[in-house]
Amino acid sequence: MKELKLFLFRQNWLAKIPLWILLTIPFISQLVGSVGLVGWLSYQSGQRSVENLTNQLMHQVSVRIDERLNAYLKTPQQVVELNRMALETEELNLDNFDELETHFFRQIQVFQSLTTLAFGNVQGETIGAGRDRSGIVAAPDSLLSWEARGTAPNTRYFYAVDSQGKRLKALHVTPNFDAHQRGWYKAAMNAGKQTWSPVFPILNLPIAAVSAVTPIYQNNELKGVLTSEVLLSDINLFLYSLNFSRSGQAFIIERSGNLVATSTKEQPFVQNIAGKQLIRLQAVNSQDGVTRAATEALFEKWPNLTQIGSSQSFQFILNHQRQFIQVAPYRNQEGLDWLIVTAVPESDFMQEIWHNQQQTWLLCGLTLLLATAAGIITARWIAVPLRRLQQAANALTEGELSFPVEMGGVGEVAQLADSFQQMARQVDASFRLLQASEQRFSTLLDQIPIGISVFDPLGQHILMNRVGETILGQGIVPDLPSEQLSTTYRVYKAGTDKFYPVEQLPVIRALRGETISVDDLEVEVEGRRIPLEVHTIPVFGQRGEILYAIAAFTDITERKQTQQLLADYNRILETQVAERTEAVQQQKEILETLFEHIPVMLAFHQNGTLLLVNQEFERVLGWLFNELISIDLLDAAYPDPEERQQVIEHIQAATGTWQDFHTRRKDGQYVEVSWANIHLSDGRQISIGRDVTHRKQLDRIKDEFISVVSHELRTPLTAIRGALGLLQSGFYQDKPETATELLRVALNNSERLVRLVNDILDLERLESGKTKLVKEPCNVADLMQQAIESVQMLAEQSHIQMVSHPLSIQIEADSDAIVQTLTNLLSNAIKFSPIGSKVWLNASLPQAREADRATEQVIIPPSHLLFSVKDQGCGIPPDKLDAVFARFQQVNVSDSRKKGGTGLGLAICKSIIEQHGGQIWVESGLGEGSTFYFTLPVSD
Amino acid sequence: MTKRVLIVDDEFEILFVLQRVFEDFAGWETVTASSSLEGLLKTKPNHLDAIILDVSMPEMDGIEFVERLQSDPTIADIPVVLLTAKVTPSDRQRFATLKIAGIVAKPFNPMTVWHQIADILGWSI
Repeated sequence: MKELKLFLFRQNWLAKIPLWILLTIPFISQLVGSVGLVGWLSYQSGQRSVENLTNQLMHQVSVRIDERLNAYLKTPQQVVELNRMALETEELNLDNFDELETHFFRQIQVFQSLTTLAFGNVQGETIGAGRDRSGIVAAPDSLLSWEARGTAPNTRYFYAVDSQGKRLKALHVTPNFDAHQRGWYKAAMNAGKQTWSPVFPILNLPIAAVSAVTPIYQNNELKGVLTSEVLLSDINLFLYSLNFSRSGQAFIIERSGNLVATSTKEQPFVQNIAGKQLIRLQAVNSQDGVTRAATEALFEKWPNLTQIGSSQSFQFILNHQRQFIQVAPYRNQEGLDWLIVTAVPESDFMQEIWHNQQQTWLLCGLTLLLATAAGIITARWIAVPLRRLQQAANALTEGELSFPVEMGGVGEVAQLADSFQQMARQVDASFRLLQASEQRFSTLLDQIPIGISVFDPLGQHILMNRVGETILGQGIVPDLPSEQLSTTYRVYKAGTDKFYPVEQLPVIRALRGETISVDDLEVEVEGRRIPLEVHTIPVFGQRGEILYAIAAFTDITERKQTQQLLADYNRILETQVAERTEAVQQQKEILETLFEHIPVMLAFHQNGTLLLVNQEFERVLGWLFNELISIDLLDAAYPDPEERQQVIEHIQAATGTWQDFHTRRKDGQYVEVSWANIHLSDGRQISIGRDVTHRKQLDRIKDEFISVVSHELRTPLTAIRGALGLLQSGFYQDKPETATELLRVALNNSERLVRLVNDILDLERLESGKTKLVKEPCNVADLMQQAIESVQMLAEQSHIQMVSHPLSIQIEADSDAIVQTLTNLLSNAIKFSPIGSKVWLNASLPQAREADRATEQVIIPPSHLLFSVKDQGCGIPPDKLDAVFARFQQVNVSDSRKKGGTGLGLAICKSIIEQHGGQIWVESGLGEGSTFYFTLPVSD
Repeated sequence: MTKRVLIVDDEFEILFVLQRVFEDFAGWETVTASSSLEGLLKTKPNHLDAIILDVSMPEMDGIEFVERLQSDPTIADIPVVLLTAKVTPSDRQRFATLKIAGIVAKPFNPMTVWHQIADILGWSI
């Protein structure tokens, strides 16, 4: 809370500062800061670059000096070396001083940097040639030669020479000359090899020179020393000519600190105090302040200068000025070991930078002033329109929606003003909308078909819509304490007479923060209980505090009733569904059972793919379903393409009509199947098939039978009709013989017709069971006797001898039928026997008389009597043995007719015997005669 | 010219009746045979105008008779009239393929049967 106040205070304090100052101050601060930073950085970078540049410059200078020294000092060494080799190889005669002089002279002419070339022998003699560069003994740069010869060569003579080396005149004499005491001779002796002499003055003048020297040996015997001299003043000139900066210097010192050469042209020799002798100038004693100070600084840094092994840079302050120093060692193979020192004062470069610095500061100042002015103006441009906007906003806050806002300002400020105007218009429009919305809300609230009431956090009822009032039967009761809510509005716990506990009332719970739906609440209005469904929600403020609770409630009387109805209905429905499910299950079971067990072939298929077949289908065609799915059934069952095409068309047409097809089974046999194809609604097809092979056979047999019966009946009728018709015409009244014959034909055929009709009727009655056989005990011997008697006449006519062995045994049988059977068999035997032959009739019990034969084909059960009728006739072909018992199956029809047969006798016998539980069969061969057997069960 | 017909039937009594009808009423000459084989043997030497043929006969039936007759070019053109008791539809189907002049059913009216046959053969009476 304290922090918040502080924050607000700060805000207020900040709010009082005018905008243009707020805009200007940071602007100017940034400007001053950046200008200062730019100046400082440019100064810093200037200094750093000066340092870098200086170091680079001094390094370059060192390198150039190094190179120049190498080049300059190489010549004397090379010349000395050349001459040494010439002397040692005796190309030059070291004893011939004239020759040496001429040689030296020529070399001096060629190598112009050399001042002297000389040879001194071990005897102290010396010969040399030179160039008087400084004009010490002759005019400057004039050529000369000198010599000191003889046994006591202690006087040296200088001669002027012409361009051919020819001596012109003596110029100078050095008395008390001792070549062996000269620096160059001693240096060569000391080193014992080619080297440099120490720096020495020329002719006791402060002109510094240095010589390349070498001892000369012949056969390991020292012969003398060769020298070649150059002036160090030439290096001074070179250093001076470098002129690498306004006041920079370069100088060369020995490691001892002795000056060798300097760009200030100061000579490295000075008079000693006595003024008599030249001594080396210590650099620290230089007359030049920079040389002196730089060397002092060197010694300060490296008390022993031999410590400096590589190029080094450092700075020091001289007269408040920074000096950059670089020191680089110079060494060569002949033993020189010097230090090249370059010194540059910072001021040489910084002056320009300082000048630039001043200009930078001036420009920065100007920029600062201009920018400040521009900042203030810009800030005011922004601030003024904003102030106008502020006034308009204040007006808006106070409700003055139409306060004019002047358009103006710049850029975003102008857009802001524009946006503000739009906003003001929108606020105005929104305000109107809000008013309208409020109006609508109020209307809506009253129109909502549920009760709505609102409670404040203290439990006070603050709003209720009209529906709510209607449901509760009263409106808001003002200042009602929340603990009286239940009693005042008569709120009951549903189904009880207890008031609803106040602390559990949905609104009270919602005020505790719960969101609730309840429907166990009833109100009593005008003595009637109304069940209510109540939803309450708490409405939270931004900080999570409860602002109010809203209760929505509806009269659920109808719903409660509906729910009850629905519950009842659901219960009924469930029961019905369960019943139906069971019924469907049962139906399914029935259908499945039917499908599998119905003796009709059923196959489901779709688009030529077999889906399911039943057992009958598998049985009739011989393929199991598993086999069917891996073959093309149409190809296999209808190998004839024409038949197959018809089958396919029948399947495609699927009209449900029946059509018979000659169908091949798996085993290759053919069956007649009658097919009907039907489309099912789900796209599948069902093929229904009946194996009609048997029926077709029956049909054929029936057709044949009718045809035969018809023929058999018509044939005698034809004769009768024909004969009688002719007689009736009267044509034969005068021809009694023909008329008699015609009458005989008619009569004869009438009898035949009667027999035929009787036999047909007998057979039909026997087979249909209409003739009940009356079984009674009877004696077999009697039956056999009766039968023989009935055919006795026929046998006598054909002169057939009947042979019989009657068996006296009781059986249970229809005696008439058995006699008829025996009579039929006997008369057949007689008819087909040749005249004079025998016919046998026998009866036996095979068990009792084991000798009697049992046939191969027939197994005679125990307790059966076996009858046999044997003849000596033409016999029956083996393939007709079974057929003889069928109807109208005489082996020889015309033969039979001649003998008055109807073709039904054996069929009648068979029927009678089978109805007695016996069997009948014949054994025969063509020409062997026939034996008809039958069995009858013996009664117990 | 007097017509000459061959009658083939295994029933003697029917053969006898037919012979009387054709000779006594139609005025045709007749040759008779009581089996197909006998009929075939008698066809060639007898310059026949027609053959009146029973169907249902043992050994060789009338159908085979027709086939054999018509396989011999010298007698193949002799018209054949079937005179048969085989009159069921299935029987008729069997005869449909035969090249015969016509069929007359048994039993027949002896007073009109020869008219029927003459009609079939296109003979004027």
